[in-house]
Amino acid sequence: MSHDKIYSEVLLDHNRHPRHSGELTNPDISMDGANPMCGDEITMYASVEDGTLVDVAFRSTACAICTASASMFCEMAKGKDFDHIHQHDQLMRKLMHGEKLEHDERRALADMNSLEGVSKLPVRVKCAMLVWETWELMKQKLKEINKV
Amino acid sequence: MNPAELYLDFPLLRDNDDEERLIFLDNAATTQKPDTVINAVSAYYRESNANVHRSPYRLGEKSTDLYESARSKTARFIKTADDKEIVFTRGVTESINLLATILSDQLLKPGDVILLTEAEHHSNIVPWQIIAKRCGVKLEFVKLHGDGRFDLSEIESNWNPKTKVFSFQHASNVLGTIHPVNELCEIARCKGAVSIVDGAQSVPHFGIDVSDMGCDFYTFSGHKMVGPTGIGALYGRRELLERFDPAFGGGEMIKRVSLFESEYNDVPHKFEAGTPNIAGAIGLGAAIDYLEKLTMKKVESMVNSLAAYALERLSTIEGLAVHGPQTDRTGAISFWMDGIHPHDIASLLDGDNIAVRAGRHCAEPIMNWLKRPATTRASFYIYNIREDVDRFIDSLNRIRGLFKNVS
Ligand SMILES: Cc1ncc(COP(=O)(O)O)c(C=O)c1O
Repeated sequence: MSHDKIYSEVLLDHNRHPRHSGELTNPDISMDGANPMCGDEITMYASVEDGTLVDVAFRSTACAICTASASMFCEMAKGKDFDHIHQHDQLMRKLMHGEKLEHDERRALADMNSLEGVSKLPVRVKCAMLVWETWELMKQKLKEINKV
Repeated sequence: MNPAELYLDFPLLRDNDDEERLIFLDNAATTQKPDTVINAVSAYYRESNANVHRSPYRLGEKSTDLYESARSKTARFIKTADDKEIVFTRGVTESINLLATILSDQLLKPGDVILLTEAEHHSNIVPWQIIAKRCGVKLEFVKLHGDGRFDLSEIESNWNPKTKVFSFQHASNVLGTIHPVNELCEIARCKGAVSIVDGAQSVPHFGIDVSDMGCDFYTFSGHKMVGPTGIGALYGRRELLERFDPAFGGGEMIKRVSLFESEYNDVPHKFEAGTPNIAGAIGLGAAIDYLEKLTMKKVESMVNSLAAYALERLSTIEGLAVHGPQTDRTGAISFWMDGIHPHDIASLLDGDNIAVRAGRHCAEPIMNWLKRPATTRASFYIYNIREDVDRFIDSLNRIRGLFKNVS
């Protein structure tokens, strides 16, 4: 059973041309995330205002699944409020658990749908989730420094 | 046993009903087990199970004989004439932790130096870090050069007179490099340091002669040489094993016990506290029988020619760089493909039923030296055939294409 299909064109395109790749000049916060087992590393940068992620960017030394997922996260999250991001977080976790998604949930996921095949590779799910776990850490730290 | 088709001796490789035969190229992590090993372990439990060195009945005698004859086989396999120089352990990791504990308690003083190398597996780094913190000894590291070798004259000229222990690998699990252990042991001996050799990646691949090598300690793991998991051995020169007190106390390791004091058993038993891994030792004996029937010369030449063929074919893939030497190497080949992360390569190969390792291979310092976040590693063993290399290369070429088609 070839796994080539898991690496869809959309996924490979986000890996080759990651959106919002790089650093922000004056971010409110940055956060490192890592999967020590496989060596994926990302750093996220963000500017926030009134519960909205005004701007976001990332750098990664990571596999295609991790980089593509981070790129898709930024594309979805930039300019959006935390609730919007949280809804997508729930959908993303459903997708990774291989749960059935409704039509409008699919629509909301947009390019992230291309990560669906990763749910068939349990050891790689954490690669797709790294950006999300890093975002969680970032939110916690934002709370600590009273930015939200 | 047909050398051309040894995988037929290995049920996991032979009896699966996958569409395509499983190509197992993660042998540096662990190897598959032949019927003879599986049967030896199962026969022990079915026919001979009893505790060793304490059961006053015939079954106990039988299990003790089997356990001790596995020790003799192990001694003969790495060429020591004295069975008592073989301590059974869980493998390299336990052996090194055992030595670190004993030596820190009974040999090392604050300010002393333990010399390691940049190429070591975490199991030959972390135990020493633990004791360094605990008892104020310092760690120093031999540098890697070129395609992954040490510079012997640099080791001698940089030698810190406070060095009491020199612990190094015989072969690298990442680069496949085979190091000149005789010379390294000789340096340690001349400088008055205890030498410890990690044989995890060498014992499976070629004949070892600890007497000729002149090492103080040598250790290896059974599971990397077609034996069971959870069993390995620590060879120690008799004089040293006798000189040091044990690290663990319990049954089998004592002669007499009173409430406040005990008299320790003779070597090697004083280092084997508690009920040992009897089935594992017997399985290790069966693994040695399997390899010896093939002969270690044959093992070496089979894996060598396969690795040479793989290296030749890998060199034809665009944007692929092999890390490590071209010759004087084992069957472990680490490589990097431009623009494709090792984990993606491994997952895509897995889709073709080819198992390789991707990551840092429990040797992060080597990754830093290579300036790579991770590598992909294909490691070959006796049951791999040229067709496995061909399928592996075909898959890599397809993966290359898959990533290239996105512009
Ligand atoms: C060079 C080297 N040393 C030590 C070890 C540790 O062996 P074990 O996990 O069997 O204790 C390994 C296994 O990966 C190894 O490759």
